[in-house]
Amino acid sequence: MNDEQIETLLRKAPRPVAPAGLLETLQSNIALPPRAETARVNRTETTPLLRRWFPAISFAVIFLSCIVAIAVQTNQIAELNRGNETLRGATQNLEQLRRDNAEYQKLQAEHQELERLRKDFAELQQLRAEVAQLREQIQETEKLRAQNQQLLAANNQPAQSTGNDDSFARFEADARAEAESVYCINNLKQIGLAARIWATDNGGVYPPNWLSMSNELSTPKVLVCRGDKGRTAARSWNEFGPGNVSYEFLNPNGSDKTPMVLLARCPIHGHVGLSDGSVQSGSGLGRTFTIIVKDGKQVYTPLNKRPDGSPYE
Amino acid sequence: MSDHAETLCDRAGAGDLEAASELVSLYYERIFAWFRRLCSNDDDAADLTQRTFFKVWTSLNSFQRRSTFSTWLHGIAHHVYVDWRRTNRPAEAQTDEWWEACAANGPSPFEDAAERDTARRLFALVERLEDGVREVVHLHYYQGLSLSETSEALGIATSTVKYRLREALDVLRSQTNEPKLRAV
Repeated sequence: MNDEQIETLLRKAPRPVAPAGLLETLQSNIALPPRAETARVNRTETTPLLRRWFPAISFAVIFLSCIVAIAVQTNQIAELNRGNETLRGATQNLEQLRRDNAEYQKLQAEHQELERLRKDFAELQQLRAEVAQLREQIQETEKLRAQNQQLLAANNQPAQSTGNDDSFARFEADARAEAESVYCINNLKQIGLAARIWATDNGGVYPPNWLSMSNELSTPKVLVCRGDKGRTAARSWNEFGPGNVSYEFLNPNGSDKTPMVLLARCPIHGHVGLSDGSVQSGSGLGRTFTIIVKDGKQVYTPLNKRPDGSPYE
Repeated sequence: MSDHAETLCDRAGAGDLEAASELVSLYYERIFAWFRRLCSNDDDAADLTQRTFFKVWTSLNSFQRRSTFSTWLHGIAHHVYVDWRRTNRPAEAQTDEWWEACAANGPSPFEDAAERDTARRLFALVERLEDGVREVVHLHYYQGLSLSETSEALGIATSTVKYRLREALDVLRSQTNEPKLRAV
């Protein structure tokens, strides 16, 4: 026999017949448990309402909390984004304003510098006019002197001519000294102007020596005072040496932020050039300042009273 | 039938006595027949059948519907039988006369006398199998449960059921093909 035949026969196994009365016995012995629905109802009634609904309420509360948290966070994120946009726009304007302000400051500084240069230039022009006027006076004096000599020769009066000659010589010497003083002031003015130009190009620091200003000074002749007979001017900057300068350079490498510090001084006339480019006359009874040494620098100090004791107006 | 049994089970669980009676009438013969094949007399089989249905009613609310009612019922019957075997003597093998008498009670399923004779010997060989293998043969072939239902009723893996059936068929085939058996 094979497996299939065996299985077929096994499935045909006869079923024993149950004895009579077994069914009735079994049916009479049925003892069903209490009704599940009734028990369930009782359990429901005995359970407190809050306890029965606690899982659902907990879930609902957590769900609502999450929704509220998400909404609040979304709102905050939106506000932060708006704030970022506003700040970003303001930052761009700020950068533009900074650039404009820096440019304005630069232009204002240049304008002030230009105004100062114009003022210096006007003063220089005035000095030049004075120099030209003095030259005319000298020429007129020369002319008068020539006429006087002609008159003396024509009249042949030695006694009178001698007296006139002396007074004329004194007048001529005074005029010449005055012209040299004015010329010296003009030189100091040009030196101060050149030093300021050099400082403007070099971060507000004055040059260390005369030779450094060769580009700013038109000629080395301005470094020799006409009253200094022992020195001669160099013909060019290539031939410039210590013997070709009359003035004392008093503020090498100084700052242009200290306008009252002396920049240069003429030992012949006593004129001083200050760091702000101005020149103060140091000759005669009209001297209105004194010089004090402060931190190793010679500082121009105006006097409250005149040397003779009378107050200044 | 399975859906009908499930409906009756639900109604019985709700306290419907008629549904419970109908459930009994549907399944008591199968359960009695199973016990009768395993036991040596009608009284023990009837007693085990009553115990089985008593446990069914007390456990009806714990029926989780993970299996069919038939499978669940056979599982209870199996445990009842095991408990009974533990406290009583080992089951005696059914005699050939019993099988003959049993087969003569109704219309014969066999085609001829030779087949009936072969079947009678085959059933007798089944009763000599080991307990675990014999229970599997009873449930799967005699009671008509599927492999999965048999495994659920016995509480073992389906693969174990298959293994035991294969083992039973090997034994039965080898013994039915012996010359001595064929000569009988």
